[in-house]
Amino acid sequence: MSVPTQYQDAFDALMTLPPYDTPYNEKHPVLLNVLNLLHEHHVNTCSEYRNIMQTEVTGRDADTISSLPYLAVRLFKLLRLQSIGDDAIFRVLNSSGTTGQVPAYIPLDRDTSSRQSKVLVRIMQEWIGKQRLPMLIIDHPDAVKPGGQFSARGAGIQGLSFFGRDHTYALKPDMSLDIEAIKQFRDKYSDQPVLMFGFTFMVWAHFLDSLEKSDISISFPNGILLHSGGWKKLEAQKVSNDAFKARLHTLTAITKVHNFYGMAEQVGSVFVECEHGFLHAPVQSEIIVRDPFTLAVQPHGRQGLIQVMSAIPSSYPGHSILTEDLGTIHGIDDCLCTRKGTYFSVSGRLPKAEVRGCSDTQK
Amino acid sequence: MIDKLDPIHSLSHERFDLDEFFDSSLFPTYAQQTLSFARAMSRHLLTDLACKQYPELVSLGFWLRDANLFHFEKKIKGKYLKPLGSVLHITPNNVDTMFMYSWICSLLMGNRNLVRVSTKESRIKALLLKAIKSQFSKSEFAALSSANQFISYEKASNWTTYLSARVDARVIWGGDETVSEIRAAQTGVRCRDVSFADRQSVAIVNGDMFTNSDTIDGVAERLWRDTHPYEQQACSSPRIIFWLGELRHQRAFFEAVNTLATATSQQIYQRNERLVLLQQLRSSGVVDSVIMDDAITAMCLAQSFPLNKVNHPGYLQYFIVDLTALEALPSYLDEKVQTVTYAGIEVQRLLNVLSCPSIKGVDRVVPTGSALTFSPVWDGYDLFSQLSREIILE
Repeated sequence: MSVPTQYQDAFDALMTLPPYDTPYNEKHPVLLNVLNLLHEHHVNTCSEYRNIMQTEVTGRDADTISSLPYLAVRLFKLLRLQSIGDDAIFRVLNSSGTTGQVPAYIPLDRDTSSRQSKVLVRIMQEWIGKQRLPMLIIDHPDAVKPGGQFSARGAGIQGLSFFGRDHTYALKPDMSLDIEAIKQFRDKYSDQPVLMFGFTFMVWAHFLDSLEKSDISISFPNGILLHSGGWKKLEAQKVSNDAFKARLHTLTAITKVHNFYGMAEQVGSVFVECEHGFLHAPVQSEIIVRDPFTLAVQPHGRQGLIQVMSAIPSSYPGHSILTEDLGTIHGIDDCLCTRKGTYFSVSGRLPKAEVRGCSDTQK
Repeated sequence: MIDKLDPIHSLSHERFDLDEFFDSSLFPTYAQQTLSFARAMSRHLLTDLACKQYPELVSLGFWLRDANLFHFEKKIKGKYLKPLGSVLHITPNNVDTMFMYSWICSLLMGNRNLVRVSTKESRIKALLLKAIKSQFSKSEFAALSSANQFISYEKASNWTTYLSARVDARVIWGGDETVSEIRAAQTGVRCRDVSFADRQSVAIVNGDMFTNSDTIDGVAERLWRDTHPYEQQACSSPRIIFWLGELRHQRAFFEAVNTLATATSQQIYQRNERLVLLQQLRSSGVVDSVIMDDAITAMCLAQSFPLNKVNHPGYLQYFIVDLTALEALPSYLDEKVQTVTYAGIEVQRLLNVLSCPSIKGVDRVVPTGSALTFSPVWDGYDLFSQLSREIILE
């Protein structure tokens, strides 16, 4: 089942808009059109999605982005949601979120996968430029294992690798520093612009911790660090974003640091943190914050459940998802960094449901 | 053997001494000291400001009052009962007040009790243990105190094995998995097990009874009382509502329940949990209609849907099944069903249907509003007789 041309045309129209320079009034009609067409497409091609939406806005378009229906993010773990035939599957993405949980099932076809890359390129170029920089990956090479199934970690590394050259892994499989590799990378590129990428916790606990304890000293004053994956573990250690940046600067001399918020369910249309510490929705995606008690749209400045929307996925119905993350929208189009679009912050996860009563199903 | 055991923590005393515990004296049934302890606990739960915030603790406070305990005593009048000896209580991981009731029943029978409580933090547990500890420190309850110990130990330790071999009865809460696990530990040959396995409960509401809004509000309020505590996760809280007769007021009825839910604070994750289950059920096409999806979720499920197949997690969700006739009820009642609450139906009519010998489930039939009221006969067990020895005199 191929993507309807109407949707593809609408997506292409969206891609002509600059990711961070399109004001709300120009962005929204174009993005809304794409999302409405995706909704219609998934209603037509995914029977589970059609069943779920039976009494929602099937057959007529939503007139605002906030009135679009959405799926609870956990459904991607509980169900096999797929809008393509099995023969069209190019890759299946699995994310487990937290260890021990059922992984999400995200089937990708070539079209969706290529759209993910295109959008990611468009977004990342805004932050790291068009040139491919020497890249230090704060992980070990085994994290990107070849094969059909793909972890979100592997996919993240692979997706970002596209923006670098001379890829060097900073860690060994036992998570200790690969001192030799780091030294070589340092001796070659120390005074040049370089790109570093890793998962937030890994950068903190396995890279910076070990650097501090080791004899090796590195300095990349022109380096850029991109990191992602959530603050949960660092919050438990009471590490703030500022503390993270300060320690990174002390140990590596890097000043350009961009955290980004994204998830396996919406690869590509990520939300990158600006110089003022806010995450920004690019033109290809949008976020809404909902009251966790009523699911009504929250006014700006109020914390709630984050709903993410992406123009990308046509192989699975993941264009509008209610996450289990808590966050706050701070404004639209008026961030001090001058980028347009909705800007927000993520404050943590929705607390886990408790099991009470006579039975304990805790295993 | 004891040397090899992990540490055991006493939650009710300064320290735990196993030998002292097993040497402590037993009590007669319904002993004065036991009754005054229950009275003191009741007074505390009903007057302490922190406890009064929790409806679960208030209910326990009412249940512990003299009048109620004397009412239960009538069931054993004329019998010659002696305590069984030592009873090991295994309480659920997420402690709530349910295990307190079975402990009190054992206490009233005069047994000495070891109550294993999980190490998991819980506000209700902390309040209860604090209250018990403070009563136990009074000299008038010294004997009771040495015969009743609240302890915790690691699940993986061999304490369960060790204690199981020494006690005369075990009361096992925690559902299927815990019951199987604990029962795997060998006991003495005469040891008795009272096992509370996974159960679920249902309500029957007769739509013909709703003639005005007062009757709607009354039944809605009673259903709310049955389902609001423990986030509807107690095994006796109804999760499935069998609706009989007139459908006209169904929506108004659940609107009334929703109004009560709106006025009550909920956990921050509950709304999302309901969304997940509703979308999951809808995805397979088994939801005929959604009556309410707000502070509660009420949905009509397809007639063909096997109700025991869905893992209902609680959180104020009502599965509605429209019954064409009361006679259709037995086909839905499997052995998992514990409590049937009823509103607007003559008990005799209901009993005629439920008396069918092939129904394996149903251990309680009570009016709507009483689902959570603990009785010494619970889940098919008579706790008084299970936790005592009756001597026959001829």
